[in-house]
Amino acid sequence: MTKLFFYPKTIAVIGATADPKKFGNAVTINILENKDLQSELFLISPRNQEIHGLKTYNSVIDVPKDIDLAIILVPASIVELIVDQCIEKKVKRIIIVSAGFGEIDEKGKKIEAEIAKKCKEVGIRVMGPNCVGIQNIDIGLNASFIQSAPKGNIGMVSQSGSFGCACFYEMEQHDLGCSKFANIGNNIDVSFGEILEFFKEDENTQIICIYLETITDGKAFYEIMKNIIPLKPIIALKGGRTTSGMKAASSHTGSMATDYKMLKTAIEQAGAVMCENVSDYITAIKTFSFLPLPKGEKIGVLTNSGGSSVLFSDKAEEFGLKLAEFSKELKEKMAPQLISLVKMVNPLDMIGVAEEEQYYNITKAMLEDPGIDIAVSCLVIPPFLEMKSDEHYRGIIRAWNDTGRGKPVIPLIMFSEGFQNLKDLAKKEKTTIYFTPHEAAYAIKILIDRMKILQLNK
Amino acid sequence: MSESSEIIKNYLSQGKKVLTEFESKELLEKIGIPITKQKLTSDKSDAVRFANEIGYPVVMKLMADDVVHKSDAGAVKLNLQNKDEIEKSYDELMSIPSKSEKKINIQKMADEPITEIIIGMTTDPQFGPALMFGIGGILVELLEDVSFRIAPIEKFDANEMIHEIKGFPLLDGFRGKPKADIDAIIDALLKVSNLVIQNPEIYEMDLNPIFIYHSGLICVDARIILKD
Repeated sequence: MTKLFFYPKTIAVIGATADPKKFGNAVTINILENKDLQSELFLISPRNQEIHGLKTYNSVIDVPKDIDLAIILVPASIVELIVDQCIEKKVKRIIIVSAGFGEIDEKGKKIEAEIAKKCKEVGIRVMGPNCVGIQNIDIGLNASFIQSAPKGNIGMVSQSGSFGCACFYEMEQHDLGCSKFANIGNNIDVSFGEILEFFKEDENTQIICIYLETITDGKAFYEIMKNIIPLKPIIALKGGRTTSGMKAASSHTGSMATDYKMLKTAIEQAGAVMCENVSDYITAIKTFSFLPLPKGEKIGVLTNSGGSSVLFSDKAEEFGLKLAEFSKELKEKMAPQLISLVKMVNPLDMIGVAEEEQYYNITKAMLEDPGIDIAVSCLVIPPFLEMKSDEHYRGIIRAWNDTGRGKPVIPLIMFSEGFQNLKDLAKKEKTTIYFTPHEAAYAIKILIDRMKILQLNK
Repeated sequence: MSESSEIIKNYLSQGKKVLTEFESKELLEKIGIPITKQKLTSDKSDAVRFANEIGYPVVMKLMADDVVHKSDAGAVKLNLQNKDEIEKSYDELMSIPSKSEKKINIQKMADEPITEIIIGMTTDPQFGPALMFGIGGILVELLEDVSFRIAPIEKFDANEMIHEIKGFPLLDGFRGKPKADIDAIIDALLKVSNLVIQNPEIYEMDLNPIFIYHSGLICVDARIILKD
């Protein structure tokens, strides 16, 4: 069971040290950081008597209790020896953080195979080597040498530890967070698919994020994704698109089927979101975290700036999105709120004079209209007429709250990253902001795609 | 065992890896994909007899294992209208240098299509058999306007594959042309999907080009490669 990696009752850090320049110290500190953690920690270090006030053991074999999870941080040359000790101790799970194996040379691959074989024989499951470790934010366990992810409902599995680390910085900015995180490194045993299977069952994980470079059990990975999709969205990013190492093909079809294309095909066919770049990846996470799925595809757009709504419409067309035709009822409802210069067409340009009340009333009118499934409230924060920088956004959020957050609202506030008060407001109200037309249109596209997939899976 | 499986087993037992156009299309016909009526012969008068039977115009192609790129080698004669043209073409084709056994594949020339399409299949090392659809012809590899799916596929997937290529408007009444028979393409994709799932011995397939019409389609050339 993969679950035991994330919920160990006893943990041994093998290669623990007080030296702040070593990873063995980073992992120890990260585990100790949470005083409420229920898991019991044992430090293995032949050189130190005591580390951070904890007694150390010469070897894992000396630990007086059974060990659920051993984290190995010793130099590559002695990892196999340590694994042997873990086997003798009947440790249940092993994470090998140490690098210097299959990612380096053939000799490393051989050692990996040897370790995998030994552990398999006695039923020990292994993650790594060459990984940063795992985190279970739900119980406050950071069994890795990177910073703890912010708390949230995302299960992330990454082939790159540093990419996970970078994502945490970005997630923090958007008030997003993880339930679980795993970096499986060279994955000599526990596979991507098994982590996904665990995330599928994990109650605190509502959204699944993947970063991968190579895949080794493609068909199983595909089947697992297909099983998860009706329950939880999956967002994927693939690093590395080289076509070297492509199989020789004697057909047109074979020559066009690059590894990247096939992986993208599999991920999308399973119903997951395949992001083309890092910013789409974050946009996708934001979107599934904060917005409900729409019931249809019709979009209503309002704005105080012609430019931003035109740019949005361009992107909408690029993504194959459909702007709604305003009904007579909706027009009649909106007209009294607006100055007479406003033309009653979609996108609705309320002109620069629109204030909080117009944003509130018009966003609300659109959200209440049966002919509109998604409202896009475009905004360029007006530097004139003594308007407050956050008043329009307040109006948008109020309209969304007053309509029970039933339909997705996309607040497209062009280039407003510099407005900390807006970000604070988003955080407080548990909502989000889209900063560019691309982001906004992409968000809608993936919401609609998922809506369709769920309809198909009914 | 299905008929297609028996045919494939038979080729494998002969040590055959690459099926000729004739053999490939014969197999496709067995699974219900329309092909141009074809006959393999090494007899000139037999070629004429067959042409009279199926009606003009006809196409003649040289079949020889070492002549792979047939059009480049001048091994394809199109739009032959009568007995004289057949006899002349027969001699020309048979005079193309080749170390392999030579035969002539004579077939009905298909009517001008709305456009040419390609249906393909490949075996991905990770995901197994996968299907491809695209606008066919000589530009297919240059433009790469194709869609892929992991097999097996269902009707929904086939429909999406067709709609997601950039060239879809060519099938949808482009510049006053009639609309292409989308159901016929879906049907062919599903048949290929079934074939490759039932026969994991198939490594790659190109049905290229397929001529698509307002009603129906016809596979004009094909290539099936079996696993080692």
